[in-house]
Amino acid sequence: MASDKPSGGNPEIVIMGTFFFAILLSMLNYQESIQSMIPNWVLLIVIYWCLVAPDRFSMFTAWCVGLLLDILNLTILGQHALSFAVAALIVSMVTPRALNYPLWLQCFFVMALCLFVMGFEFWLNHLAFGYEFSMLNWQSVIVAGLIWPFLRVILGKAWIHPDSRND
Amino acid sequence: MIRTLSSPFYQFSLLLILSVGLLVLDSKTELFHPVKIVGTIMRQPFDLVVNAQSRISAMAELLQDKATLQEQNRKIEEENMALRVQIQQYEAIRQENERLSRLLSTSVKDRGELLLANIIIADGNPVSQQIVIDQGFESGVYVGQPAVSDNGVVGQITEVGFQRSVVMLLSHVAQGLPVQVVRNGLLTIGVGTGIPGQIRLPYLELEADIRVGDKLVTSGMGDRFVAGYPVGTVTEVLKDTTRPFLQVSVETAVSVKYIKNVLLLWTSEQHQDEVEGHKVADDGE
Repeated sequence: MASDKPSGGNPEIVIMGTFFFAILLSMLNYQESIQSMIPNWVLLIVIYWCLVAPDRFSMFTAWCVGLLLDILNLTILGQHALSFAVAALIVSMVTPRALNYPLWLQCFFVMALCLFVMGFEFWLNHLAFGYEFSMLNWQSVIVAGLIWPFLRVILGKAWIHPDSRND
Repeated sequence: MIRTLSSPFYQFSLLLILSVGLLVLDSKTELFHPVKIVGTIMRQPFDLVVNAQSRISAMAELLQDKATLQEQNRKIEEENMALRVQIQQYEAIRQENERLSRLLSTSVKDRGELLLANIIIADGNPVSQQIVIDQGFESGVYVGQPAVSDNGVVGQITEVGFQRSVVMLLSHVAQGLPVQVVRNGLLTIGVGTGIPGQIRLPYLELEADIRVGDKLVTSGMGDRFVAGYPVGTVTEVLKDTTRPFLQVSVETAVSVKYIKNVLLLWTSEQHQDEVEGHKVADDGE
């Protein structure tokens, strides 16, 4: 199909590029004062691609990205993989409807999702090691929601999916 | 295409089983050790950029005005002088201690070798309770090796890769450390709480002589940590007579937030054992 041709480069390359960039952002050293405000960059990108291009970015891909993150960060394998798969599952329940939500609602959706994934990771660690639920980085969730509109604009420039051009 | 074949829930349950399998296998076995080494190599391009970032911020510091630098230099020199004086005393005390220990015919551990390692990842994520340092198996780092900083014990190595190792902090829940109260020599075990900078002493009887403010050091029991390194200070002692043990909270001497590098310790005999252990394992394979 001619209309399936995305504008602005090969979608696979664009997707991989965004993940490379997001992983890099998550590895940078931030100042102590803003450390707790840094959103989960990779999760944001996972949400974006799950929402915008579900045919090219499946739950399995999200899981693989999580596994890659586990391998790179030397955390226990499967931890991020599972939480990203959970995020992808939730997104798959609302896509493509969510793309037509007003922007503020999308922001709230992203915040809720980030909070949920963070809680899920805590819960996993609670099961595994008995951690207490006391140290949620709630600032990072809010920042994630605030960044979402910019993310949509920037990534939308990189590659616009034919389905999402109408909104 | 796969999406049309199978429902998201089917896909998810498959991934769930896969993840739980990985989580259990990775936390209970050494099966994925090679994967971790591959991970440390895959990290290299990312670390290049991250290192460049820290170098730029270091440059920015260099551009600070001369007066600040001179002031800093003066302070460091003063500190150096003070430390040297302390070391002289320490050396004398160490020798005396060694002599007394020999009189009591207990074994004295050599201080062994030291290696400075930089912290690469100390993420703000309170869940992880671990840091990654830039020394790996090529420098002879081994699993279980103690890591300390200038203020005291940081943790121990749990994973060794190429130019990277993971240090599990004292506050990690899976961490247990034999400690000793400096004031009266009381021996017990410190256990991580999962809260940054907090450990607890869960195995002290209600009558145990411990107070708020007591300093703890490593006892050297269990042959993993060298004795005498500061661990932390008791911040709370709760005596609940309905429970068999005291509830004692301890604040660790080292806060990972404020350190940039750690020292890895080798007690000479441990290292020797480790090297031989490796050889045996290699022959076995």
